[in-house]
Amino acid sequence: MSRRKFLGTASCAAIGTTTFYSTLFNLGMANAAAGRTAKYNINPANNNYKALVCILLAGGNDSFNMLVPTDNSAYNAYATTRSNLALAQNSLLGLTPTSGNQVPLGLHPAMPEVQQLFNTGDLAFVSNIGTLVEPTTLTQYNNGSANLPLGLFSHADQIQQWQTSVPNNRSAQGWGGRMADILQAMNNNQNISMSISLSGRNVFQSGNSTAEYTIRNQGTGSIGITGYGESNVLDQLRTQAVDNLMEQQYNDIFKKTYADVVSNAQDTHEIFSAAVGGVNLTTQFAQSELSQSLQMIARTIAARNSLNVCRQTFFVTFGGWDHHDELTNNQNAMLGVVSQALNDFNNVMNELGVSNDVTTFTISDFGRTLTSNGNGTDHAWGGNVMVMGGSVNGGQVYGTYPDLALNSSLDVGNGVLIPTLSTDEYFAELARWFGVTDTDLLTIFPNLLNFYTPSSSPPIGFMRV
Amino acid sequence: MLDFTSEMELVGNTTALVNRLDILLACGQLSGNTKTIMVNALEQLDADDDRLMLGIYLTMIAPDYAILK
Repeated sequence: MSRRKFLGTASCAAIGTTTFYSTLFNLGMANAAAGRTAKYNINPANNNYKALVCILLAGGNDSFNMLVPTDNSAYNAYATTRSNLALAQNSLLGLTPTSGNQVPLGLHPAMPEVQQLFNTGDLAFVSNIGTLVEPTTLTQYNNGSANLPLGLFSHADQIQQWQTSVPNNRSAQGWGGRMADILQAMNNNQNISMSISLSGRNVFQSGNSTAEYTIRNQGTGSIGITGYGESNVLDQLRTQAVDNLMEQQYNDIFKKTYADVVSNAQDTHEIFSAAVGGVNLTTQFAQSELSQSLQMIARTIAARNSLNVCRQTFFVTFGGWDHHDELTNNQNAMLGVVSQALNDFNNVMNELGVSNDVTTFTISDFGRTLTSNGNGTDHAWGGNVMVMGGSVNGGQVYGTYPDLALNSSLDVGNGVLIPTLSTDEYFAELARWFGVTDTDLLTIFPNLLNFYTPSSSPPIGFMRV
Repeated sequence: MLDFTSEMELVGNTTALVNRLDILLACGQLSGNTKTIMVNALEQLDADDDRLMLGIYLTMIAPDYAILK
């Protein structure tokens, strides 16, 4: 009985329901996935571990105050446009790019750790990136001839589209989920989803046949039934009774699924907490929720051999970026949290010796209006993101940092800039590095051909081959 | 604080207690099998508030309770 055949024909109830839902509907999916994964080398000895870590800055990070021009001419345009929200020129932290032909840029003063990560080549920026259905010009935007993302400027739609990369459709299925549908079979351990979330249910990791396994950033991460398996009399009775309840035959498909989920969640918890419980890290982490969550991610990565996995995605949300108000104070504090957390994580990846195998990337609903509303900024479109790891061609700003003067060729009004790079190109580059084939790239990113045709050349070039 | 005074009066009779919890919490949805499992567990405890607590716990984790019909 090969693993492929098992996946394709076994009752889904035998497989952890974080990997396949226990319904007849998805048996078809199991067959399809098993066939497709045949071309992925499933020999763990040949598959070095790789992980993607997605950090969602929820609310729309004002990323043109994160990455700022430093030379006089471009800085003056920035300062004029951003008026009372402009950062002082001499407060910006200089970035030393590894190649010569870039606009001189600096960082928000709260991010000295990121400055260092950039200057040592561990981190890169991708500039003026956003949701796009197809490449769009200002003329097309104004005369209505371009297909635009649904609900442009709406949090609900945009935060979803940064996770699905399908802005012309409201299906809440993420590219991480579609990727996991295909790659889950690469892991020997089929009891734990390859998608791990520190922030609960999320669109990014929602697939057709896979969903995320949620852990928290305390204890050993996983959550089990209180008292289950404990040795005192009451808990022994509890354990036995819970087992009896879950092992009953249920005709109702919801009850059956619930019982399977409860049982499997407990089983998974026992495996997971035993693996992660044995991990000790020396790297220190800040007390912020983000740093603590990245620490739990690091512990999970450290336990990858006990968990018997070679491909994982991680998702964590850091919310509160919708700075219509109090932009300056809030960004000061929050960009500092991000900078420290990224540094903590980079340190621990080096401690574990897996820096080349783990790539961390940020996403956010949108950038924000370059103009000030008095005290803050409003919803916009194109913005800047960060990507970090040993396999990143760091010390570069990819894409084209835009002209920040108002009424530029990208400005649809109030300094809302049309993106010149799509999320498809950004994510496709990450998926390629992760091991997705060219054919499967087109399945995972249905709009990709509007921007990039899979080939031996990467979409953007920020990942080392 | 929830008031389980009435239910505490039934802890001496596991069947009555389970039937009471079925109506109180589960709208009568608990199956005969589920209630048998619960009674068997509660019978192994002394007739005190541990019985009530475990009874409530098992009711609420039971698939018959969790799925609304």
